[in-house]
Order: sequence, then structure tokens, then C-alpha cells
Amino acid sequence: MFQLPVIDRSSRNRKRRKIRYQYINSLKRKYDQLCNSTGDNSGVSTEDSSITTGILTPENSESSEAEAADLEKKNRRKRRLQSVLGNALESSDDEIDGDENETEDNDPRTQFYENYMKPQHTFEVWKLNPAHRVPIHRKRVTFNTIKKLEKAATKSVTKNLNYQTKKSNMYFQALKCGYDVYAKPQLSNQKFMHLAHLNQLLFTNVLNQNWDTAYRCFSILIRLEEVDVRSLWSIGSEILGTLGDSRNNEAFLEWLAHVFSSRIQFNQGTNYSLDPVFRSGSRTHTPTFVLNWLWTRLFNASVISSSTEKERSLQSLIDRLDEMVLSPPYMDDSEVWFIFGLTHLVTASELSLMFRHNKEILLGSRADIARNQVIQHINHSKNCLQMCKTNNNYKFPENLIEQQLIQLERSLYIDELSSSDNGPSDNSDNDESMASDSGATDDELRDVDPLDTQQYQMDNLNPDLEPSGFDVPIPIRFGYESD
Amino acid sequence: MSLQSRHVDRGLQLGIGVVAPSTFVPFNKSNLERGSDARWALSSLKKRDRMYFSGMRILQYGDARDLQTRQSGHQLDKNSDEVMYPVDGQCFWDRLLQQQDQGSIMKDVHLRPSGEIVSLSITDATGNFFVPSSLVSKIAKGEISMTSDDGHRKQVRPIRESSSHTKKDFKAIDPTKKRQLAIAQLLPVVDARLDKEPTTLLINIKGPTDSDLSLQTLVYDQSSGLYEKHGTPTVISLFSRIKHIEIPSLSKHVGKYPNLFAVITNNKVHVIRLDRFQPDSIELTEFEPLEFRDFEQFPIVHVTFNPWNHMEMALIDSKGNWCIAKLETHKRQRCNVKLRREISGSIFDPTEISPWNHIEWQDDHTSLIILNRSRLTVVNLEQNWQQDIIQAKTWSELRDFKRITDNLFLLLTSKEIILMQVRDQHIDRLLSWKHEWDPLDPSIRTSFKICEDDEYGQLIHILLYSKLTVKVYGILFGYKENNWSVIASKPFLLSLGNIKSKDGLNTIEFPDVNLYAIPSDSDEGDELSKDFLCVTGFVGSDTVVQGFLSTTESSNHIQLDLEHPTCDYSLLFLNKISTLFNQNLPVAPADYRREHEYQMFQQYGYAISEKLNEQLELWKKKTDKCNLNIDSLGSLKTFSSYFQNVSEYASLIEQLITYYKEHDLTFSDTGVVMNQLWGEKLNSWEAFFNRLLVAWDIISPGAEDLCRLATEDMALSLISYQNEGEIKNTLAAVNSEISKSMKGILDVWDNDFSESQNNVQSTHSALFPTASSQLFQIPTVKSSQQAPAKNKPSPSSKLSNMSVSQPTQPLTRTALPGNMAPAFSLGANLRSTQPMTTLSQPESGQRAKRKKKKVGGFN
Repeated sequence: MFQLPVIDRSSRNRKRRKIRYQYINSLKRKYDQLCNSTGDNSGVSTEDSSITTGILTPENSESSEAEAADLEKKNRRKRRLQSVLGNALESSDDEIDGDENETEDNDPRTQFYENYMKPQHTFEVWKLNPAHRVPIHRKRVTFNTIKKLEKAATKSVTKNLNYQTKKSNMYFQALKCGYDVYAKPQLSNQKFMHLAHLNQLLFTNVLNQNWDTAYRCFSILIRLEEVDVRSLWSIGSEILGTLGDSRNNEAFLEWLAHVFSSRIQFNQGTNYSLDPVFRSGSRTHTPTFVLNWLWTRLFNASVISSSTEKERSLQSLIDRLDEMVLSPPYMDDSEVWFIFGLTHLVTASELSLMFRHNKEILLGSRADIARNQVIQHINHSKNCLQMCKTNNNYKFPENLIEQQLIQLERSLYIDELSSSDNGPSDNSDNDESMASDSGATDDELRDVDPLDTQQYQMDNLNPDLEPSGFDVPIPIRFGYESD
Repeated sequence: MSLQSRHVDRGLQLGIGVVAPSTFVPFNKSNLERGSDARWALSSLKKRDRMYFSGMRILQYGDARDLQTRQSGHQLDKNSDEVMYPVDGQCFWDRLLQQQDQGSIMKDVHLRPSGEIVSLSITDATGNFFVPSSLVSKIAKGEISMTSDDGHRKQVRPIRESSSHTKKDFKAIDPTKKRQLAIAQLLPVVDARLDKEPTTLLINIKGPTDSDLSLQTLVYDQSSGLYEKHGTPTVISLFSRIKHIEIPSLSKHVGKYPNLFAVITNNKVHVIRLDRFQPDSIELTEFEPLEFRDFEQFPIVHVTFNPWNHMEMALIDSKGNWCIAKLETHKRQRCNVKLRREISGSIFDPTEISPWNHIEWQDDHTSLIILNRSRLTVVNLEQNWQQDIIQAKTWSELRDFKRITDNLFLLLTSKEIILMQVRDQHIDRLLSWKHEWDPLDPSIRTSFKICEDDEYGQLIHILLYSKLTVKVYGILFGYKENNWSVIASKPFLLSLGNIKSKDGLNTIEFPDVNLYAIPSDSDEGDELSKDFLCVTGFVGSDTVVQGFLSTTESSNHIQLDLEHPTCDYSLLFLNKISTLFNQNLPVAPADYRREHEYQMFQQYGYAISEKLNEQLELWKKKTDKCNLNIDSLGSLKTFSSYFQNVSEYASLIEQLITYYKEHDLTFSDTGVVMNQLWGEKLNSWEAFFNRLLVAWDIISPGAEDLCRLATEDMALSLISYQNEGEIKNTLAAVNSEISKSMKGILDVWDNDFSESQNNVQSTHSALFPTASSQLFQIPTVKSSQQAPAKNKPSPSSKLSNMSVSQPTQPLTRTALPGNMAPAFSLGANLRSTQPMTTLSQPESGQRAKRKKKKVGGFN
């Protein structure tokens, strides 16, 4: 019922995959042939044919004798080489499946995947950009074409099927007739059966929120050597987060981030058996567990009650992020920058809160130091958010955050001003602004005190902010930059 | 601008345990209470509770189709939904046998007097199988064995119909069978003019070949909140297997109810219009069906009605050719479906072999969304462009697509549930949830229910179900335009009740209940608005179940068995078991005499203790440290010959146990075993026997023999023994060998399960349920009824006879257990000098001596 955290290596399924992709490949080959011969390239799927040009495998159709001869030569050479190596069995195998369709030692699945981009961030390739629009493919595919395709493909596949089991044959029949085939998991192996049951129990208990049992299942599952922890990390994190204190979850995620962070280039040519979306990372893809770790740390840090503890954990997170953003994939990931910015924001708000608490104690230069600390964080935060925006693929409530930052800045000085003026007014002012913020999106900036603008270049900010529509991300110049 | 931060083109990608990004808002209203985490945006939204199916009730019972499709499913595999390879024979043969006795194997098939020969009608004959006569004669002669279960001691397969994993290797599921059941609110034009309320119809498939469409009027019962059937259903025969029922879902802005719907069969598209509801029937107009050959000769797999004009529809065939069609009504001639070939196209992909295709209108009437398994394409008819939005060739496949509102769409892939938003021809991926369902399951689909919510704006309840299981996965999305799209609850697993089915769910429907039609009692209205009525159909059966999707848990009292055909297979099987039993009942041998029974017991006791000693020796020699050496007495393969005195037998067992206990051997506790078997603590096997006899006496004339046999068997197989000292050693050895991490688990495990029972017993009790349930199902079934007859002498004469004929019983009971001496003497047979006259008067001292000698030798 649920996804197994193991790679399916059963020979049965491998064989079936092979049949499936063999069929698909030969369908496609035949289709390309038909389209090319009639010069009907603009036909039903231009996109597909454009991909086809990028196919690496040489077409060994009867059209080009020379190519066929070349291939024959190559095969012969290969066979001889193999016989020299004493690998007679291999070569005979190659003869069986490698005569017409298989050009080289290629797995049909690999061949199939060569034509498609393997996305890292999503399970599918999403093209939302209107630039990809093409005219409607008006030409419908006809019955005769399909019959031709299917006939040719069936022929090429059944040739190999003669050597296969009855079940494989039946599988192919079902496939050909358009059935969706669900292969029942093979539970022949005791260990695998155990694993499958455990997995089932794990998910059932997580979904029914029996965390204790789920924890046990998880603890056993991750110790089985077939299981890839990376396929289960999110479940584990959920269980740990619910069961234990936040530390456990943080530690688990940290461990993952340390052990499994990878900076290897994601190779489109490799035949990965598992998707990288939630599972792993690469040079261009921040692993989800790293992001999760950062968010968890940030969330946890922001709710710590003791202020020194809080400051320490926030500071350590900032240090950590500071290091991280120096290298790929984090340096290009807007979400990491966003987290970084938020961390600064949280710290700033924390410090300013402390400052406001202690404003009676802090006097003179001490107050200035404390104030500067806050402003430093605010500026850092602005910088980070600016970095986040440069990639232009991450949306966040800019205006809202910006307003928060301004509020923070103001709050540092309001006290001073208000202390010189009338004491309680700042409180009411604060309340008002809070009310306006909680109105969330409709964040027209409240008219700020003229004194504030004088001191902190609000004139620079205001004209930018006020007209900014929500849909158009106008680059906003932050106070820091204008410095 | 939304409150949330997210990737522009990926949206939020969430899953179990994946933390959703948020925004820090220190100056917030709720900030005033310090220390709360409400300073994060959206954190004030309270997560919803999980939901349950509650109050499930059967709306419609499956009729004969149940039986027929299930069985003919094995035979007519071309037509059936789920084809098993190869045919699983057990049920088939049993049915065959029955049929053969009646002499009614299919001889003649009536075809319906119709122009087209497409459907077998319901005659008596169609319920039966066609079986080659040669096969029948062979079976009759006994050349082919029907079952492989000979002998009763072997645990044989047929109790579970499908136990073997290897047999059924894969399941082929027809992806073009989409919606097989629909709850529709339809309003004929006549009624609309009279300003009537729409009528709710249950439209589903009936008939032996799934070719009949049944329209059943439903009436909403306000007190229960459920639907009741009203009147008799109108059945239309479409002469071909029905694959999909499409009800137009009109846009809210239109403010109308549809009066027609479409049905896709194996070779045609039918459009059926409702004209008038008569008290006892429904007047219908059937449009001239659109035959597949009218288009491109491929089966049409999906149609969809224009949400702004239900007289227009879009259709797509199995290869991705799509077309717009107009429904034309005429006064004189028949209404028909006219293809507008000028507005057509194709998304054919040679690498796509699944015929699953889906077509849906986008946010206005000039654009369409077209999907196949690996592609989602948006087509704009007016501006003449198309764009491939999704290419799913690698990690996932598209499984289902739902149009929630004009701007919201739900896409189900093999990995995720994705909420999409369309705005001015631009698609946004808002939110995706990784559902962790088996990505290889090709039959998963979703149902949704959207409702207004004070907190979340719009709350979308999403259920994910499959044709492979009756469990349902659920999750709630919250959506507020321009503001947020969030996960509003933790994912949960729903159960419909006690339903047995090899197949899963066909469709889950959320009918719109006209709330304004309900006189709103303040409490009840609240109650109902929280729960959603949902209706569910099952694969391979036209049983329909209704109930609530509710936040409160209540038990579902449904008991459905869709596993077996209605011919009461279990009863048949019970009979078979009992005949087998009767045949194998021990018969008193010719030379049997009651007086010799003691001698027999002596011999038996000797034999069993010898075997046991051998076994112990064997264990000692074993070097394998990790073997825990647990065995049951039954594994010694020593059986007594015929006896009648059960109390003697029981005492023999007891004495055996007491004796070996002294020699560092632990036995499973009789009390625990009995507790498992009987549900209460009995002290001895004899008591067990008596209970069993009371229960079974009614059933069989040979009850006494049966019970004796059962008691013996159970005693032997359930009393397991192991060497306690050895186990401690082994455990210590294992403990020292395993790695630290394993030890960690072991410790944790023990700590949490610190139960009063010691290790040994808990291991045993874990073993027992399986053993008992496999061995004897009958007593456990009966026991609960007979349990009150505690310790009373049986009312039957037989039992009293028995107790009379065993005068020594009370004596043995009192004398032996205290004695510590076994009821058999090991030396007795060797010497064979003086056969014991009675066991109930043992010379205890002498025997104890002998015992010691002997055992010393063994050790």
C-alpha cells in the first residue's frame, strides 16, 4: 500500500521493465521512421521529434547499408573480444537481444531515459513559462499509423519474448492491450517480507498517529541494510518531532545534513533508480532535509524561553548559515538565503526586545552598542533577502517583512523619542501598527512619525513601497544599500 | 502577494515531516502574548483533526452481479476489470462440483432479442460455467484430483482462498474504467420551469456484464442525514460494458443544474437526457450514441462537459486525439452528438502506451487541459496555442485530475497530490503533498470536497483511494485566494468498516446536500455541516455504502464480505471439513479393551519421554548458540493409539510436565494456553475437553471422539518446552555478540514491554494465536456461546455416560498431581513383569525410585 524504502532489484521486475521499454522504444523508433519518411515532421509531436535528433544511438535501419555493416563489424569485434576474455555466455546473450534493436550493451530503459530530462526539484518537469507555447497540433493520429507502429513494435519485442517465461509473455500481452499492470510485490524472501510488513506498519501507525509503535518500526527499519534512510527521513523526522523533544529531531536532521549532503553534479546520463526530489541533493539541488534542518532550528530557536539560550542558538545558526552560503548548492538557493534573512530578523527582533526591556539599565554608549547590534542584524537581513530576490524564483511577502524591519528600527528609537516626549504614546502607536500588520496583506505603510523618516531615510523607502503592487516584484532598495 | 514564501515555479513541496516555510512576523496582534510561536505567519491557524468515516451504512446491496462477475471474472478475462493470471482454482472447482451435482452446466445461452449481439442476458445458464465435457468426465472418474488436501493432520491451503503469492503475479487494471458510480443532482427542464429542486440520482452499473445502467432516485432523509432509496430504479441496457459515467459539473456562475449526463461504454458514447420524473419511472431521451468509429476509431476514454454550457463537450480517445462536440437537439428527429472536427487535435505520444487520457476545461470556455499518463497540456482554442506544462517521464506518472473550481485544480501523480491554480491562462503550482502511497499502484484516484471555512478560507478535503485496497488516505488543504495554500491537517488513514475485499474502492462521491432544503435546527445543522455525506462503491460489486466523513470517530457497523460469492462458500467448506473429520475419526481397534488402556498409556508415556530425552540430548550437542530451542510436544511425532479416558491423558501430560520441570525444562503454562484458546483460565486439558464436548455435542454425533482428538492434538501442539538455563546462556551469548546499536534496540524493546510474564511465556503466548487459529477454527467460533456452561456436567447423556464409565477420575485428580510421580513408569515396560492394575493407586515411593534411576541414565 505504501512506498517501500528500498530499491527494487528483483529480476522479475527488471525483465518486465526491459520488455516495457523495449516496446516503447521500438514504437517510438517506428514512429520517427514513419514521420521522417513522409516528411511529416511537423506532425503530431514536433517536440518529440526534436528530442529524437538528440538520440545518441545510431539508427541501424535498413535504410543505410553502410551503417548496418559498420554495426555488424562492431558486434563481431565485440564478440571476439568477449570470447578472448572467456565470456562466451555473455556474447550469446548479446546475440539474442542485441541483434536489431539493441545497438550496444544498452538497457532499453537507459535508452528511453536518455531522451528526457531528469528533474531534481520536482518529480515532473514543469514548464510554466508562456514562452513554450506552440501552435495546436491539429493533426490527429490515425488508426493505420497506430496499427503499423504496434505491429512493428510487437514484432520486435515478441522475438525476444520467445525466450522468456509465460508470465513475461502475459505481462506483455496486458501491456499491449493497454492495461495498467500492478506487479504484486514479491514476498518470497523472508527478510523482504519482514521489511514490507514493517513498512506497512510504520505508515499505518504514522497515519493513525500511534507514535510509539511508529517509532519502533522506524528504529528497526533504518537498521536493515537494504533500507535507504534518505527515503524515510521525513517520516523519521515527523516521529521524532512528535515523540521526543525538539532536540532529537534537530539532531537527527543535523546528522542527515552532515552525512548525506552531497556536492556531486547531478548527472543526467546516469540511470538513477530513485528520485532525488526529497531524497538527496546535488551540486544544484539543496537536499530537503537540510532545508528542513534549518527551518527546524530556526523555529525551535525562536520559541526557546530563556533569552541567553535563545541568543546562543540563533547565533550558532547564523554562524552555520554563514558558512553554508559560501558553497554550492546553498549559495544559489534562494530558500537558504531566505532562512538566513529570517534568522537575522528573528535575532534582531529578539535583541530589540531585550533592548526595550533593559532600556532603563542601558545608558549612553551601551545603549548605542545594543542598538547597533540590532541594526546590524536588520541590515544583514536586508542583504540576505536581497540575495534571495536576485534569483527571482522565490516568492516571499517582501512588503510584510520590510515593514517588520522598519518597525524594528523604529522601535529602537521610539523609546528615546517618547521618553523625551510623552511616555505612553509610543505604546498606543505600537498597538496601532500591530493591528495594521495583522491585517497581513493589505500592508499599506502606516504613516510613520516624521522623526523616524528624518533619521532613517524613510523617504528613500516610502516612495518605493507605497505604489508597489503585489503582483509586480519591484526591486526595493533597502536602507542599508542607500548607506 | 501571498503571506507565504514559496518557490515561484515549484510552489510548496510538502510531505510528512517536511517543515513548511513560514515568515516571521514579530509585530503581530498575537505578539502581545509573549513566548508563543504565534509570531510566525499562519501559525495561528489551528491544525484540523483527522477525520473518520462514521456511521457507514449500506445504501444499496449488490445483487446477483456480485456472484456472477466475481466468478465469471475468472473465465471471461477479456471483459473483466481485474484479470488474474492464472486462474485461481479453488473456488472455481468447488462451484463446479456443486454445479455438476445439479447437472446444470451451461448448455444454452439466450441472447437478448436485440439487433446487436453484445450482451449475455441474465438467464439461469449464465450463472454457470462452461466446462469442457472431457474435463468433467475426467474429474468424475477421479483422474484429476480436485484438491490437494488429503489427510487432516496436514495444514492445508484451502481455508484461505488465495494464499499463494506466486500464483497471482500481477494484476491488470483497466485504466479507462474511471467513474463507475455517480451521485448526481439533475434537474429536467420541465422541473426547472416549475422552479423545483433538483433530484438526486444514484447512477451506477448493474447487470452480469456491467452493461446496464441503473438510475435510482434518492431522497435525503433529514433526520439521519443520509439518503434513502425512493421507488424502483430505472434500468437502461446499453449493450456494452460501461466504463465511465460523466456528470456535467456546471460553473457556479451559471447557477443551473444539468439535465443530462454521458456514459462511455466499450464502443460508444451515450448521452442521456432526463425529461421528466414520473412517480414510478424516469422519462429519458437518449441521444444518438456517438460511435468510436465516427471519430478516429480509437476508443473514447473521457468526455467532459463545458461548465458554462452543458450542450458542448470535449472528448478524447485512447491515443490522445481530442475533439469538441456539440449536442444537438431536434424536435422531429433524434437528438445527436455532432463532432466539430475543425476544433480538434492530438497530444499523441508514441512513447505512451497507457490508454488513460483525461480532458478538462480550464478557467474559460476556450481553453482545455489535456492529460495523458506522462503529460499535461494546456490548449487554447481561441489563440491557437498549446503548451506542455508537465512532462512526467521519469520519476512519476500522472494518475488523476480533478477540477475543483474554475480556478483550482487537483492533480494526483504517483508521488504527490498537487494543488494548481489557473489565473488568466497561467498555471501556478501552489502546493504539493507527497503522499507516500505505493508509486507502482496504477489505480489510485482522488475525491475531494471543498467547503467554506472561517479560518482557512476554503478547506479542501482530499481522499485518495485505490482499486487495490479498501483503505483510504486523507488530507486537508486550506486555500485562501491570494493568501495562502496550506496543509490543514496531518494525513490520516480511513477505514470503512469491516469489509473484506480483494479489490478496493471504485469511487468515492461527495454529493452536494442542499443545506437550504434542510430546516435548520441550530444544533443539528451544525452537526451536519461538519460532516460530509459520502458515498462509496466497490470494485467488482454494485454494493454502495454511504456514511459521513466526520471528525468524530464512531464505529462503522458494516460487515461486508465481497471476497466470496454468495453461494456461501464457507458453509460448503465447513461441511467438507466435518466430513473429513468424520472419516478420520479414530475407531476403536478390534482388540481394544478399556482395561488395557493403562498399559497403552504406559507405553505412550515411555515413548514420549524417551523421545524427549533424545531431543534434549540433541540440543546439548548443538553448537549453534543462537538457536533458542523451542519445540512443542507435537514435534516429537509420538502419538498415542486409541484411548477413551481423557482424564487419564490429561494427567499424563500434567505429570510429564511436572516431572521434566524438575529437570530444568520449562513448559508453556496450561493456564495461559487455555486463556488464549478459550478466553478464560482453565486448569487442565480435561476441563478443556469437557467444554469442547458441551459445545460440539450438538453438532456431531461423533462429538466425543472429535473432542478427544482435538484435545490431544491441541495439547501436543500447544505445549511447548524449552530449556530455561540454556536460553539464559543463549541470550547472554547473543547479547555479547550483537553490536551496540542492536543491543540498544533490544534494551528499549524489553523496557517498554515489561510485562508480568516472563520471557518464556511471552514468547509462547506469541506463538499460540497462530497455532490455535490454524488448527481449529471451529471451537473458537463456538466457544463464546457455550462459555457460560461452566464446569457443569454436560446435559448430554454421552458425557454423563463417560464420566460414569470412568470411576477413577476423581481419584487420579486428587492423588496424582500431589505425588509428583508420573502416571507412567519408565521401567514398567522393560521389565514387563507386573502390569499395573490401576494407575490411581500408585506405589509412589517405588515409582519415584525407578524414575530417579532412569533419569540419571538419561542425563
